[in-house]
Amino acid sequence: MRADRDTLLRLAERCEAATGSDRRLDAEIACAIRHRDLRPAEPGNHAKFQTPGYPPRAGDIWTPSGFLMAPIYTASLDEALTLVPEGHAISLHIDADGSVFAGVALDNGVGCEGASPCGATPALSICAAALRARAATAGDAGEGAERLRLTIARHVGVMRGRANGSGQEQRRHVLRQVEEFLFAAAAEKGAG
Amino acid sequence: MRAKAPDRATLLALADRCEQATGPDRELDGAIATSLGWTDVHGSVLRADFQGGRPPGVIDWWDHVPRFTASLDAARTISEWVLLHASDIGADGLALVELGNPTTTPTGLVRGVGYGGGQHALVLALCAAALRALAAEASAP
Repeated sequence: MRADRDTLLRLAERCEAATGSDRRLDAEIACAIRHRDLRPAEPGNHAKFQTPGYPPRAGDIWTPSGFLMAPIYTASLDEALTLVPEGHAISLHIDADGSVFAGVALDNGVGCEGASPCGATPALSICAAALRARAATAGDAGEGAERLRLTIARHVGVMRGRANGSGQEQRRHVLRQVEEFLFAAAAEKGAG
Repeated sequence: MRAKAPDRATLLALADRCEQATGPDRELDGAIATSLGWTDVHGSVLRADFQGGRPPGVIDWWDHVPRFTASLDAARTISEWVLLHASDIGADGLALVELGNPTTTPTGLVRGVGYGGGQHALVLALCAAALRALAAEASAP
């Protein structure tokens, strides 16, 4: 069973709002993507088997027989990249002011299904873009296309505003690249 | 602190090897580690900067040398230059990584390209760029 689009988008927004790695968020992402039958652990879970003073930690996932540790998606580039859907490529760019944006595109270079213009770290930004890419392909295709178009318009507007502010040619080039991905994806979705 | 300043030519040669690699390579990991100051001692390795208040210790080579060519997180520890751009398809379909020197103005820039393709190309591109960053530092006055 696939995670629903709203859940994925909410998680993407939380990644974009986060200021650093977050183990609870890791657990929620893992439950949305990999372990749909499980849920993030709560302090009282499996209480009678707990060692006193050692409740489940924020990154633990409840299972019927104990706990799993969630991968460190929000802290590790390696783990964050495992969220990128099969057959997709990533593009990551970091501004002089430290702000990060990431795009997740079909690796044939003619589509982009997720973009995140405001992650605090590269790992968070890739998480957000990958979750948006997964959200774009979840659920009804027609409705998804319209939502994607709106999301893209918002993201491109934000990115264009930043590019004008900095005036760096390299950055504008990357933005153009991402824009092309985004608009091609919108056209493709619309045609579909 | 590293035991010795890495040799510029060695670092550039290692960067080229990373770009030519087709996937993770432990031998290359070992060569990178050596250039960073890890020292081979009778089949094990004494890491020169592994003191941190503790006495220096002999640690096993293959268990402890980071998997630079397999992990972006490990590859990022090679150099302190900041990641500016990374793309699976940034260099005409090849993986591209660009690092900037945070201490210079205008920002120094080095590039690494992953020619190997596949999921490890980005890691190899980052290794190459990071080694070129070290080489740039080694050649600085």
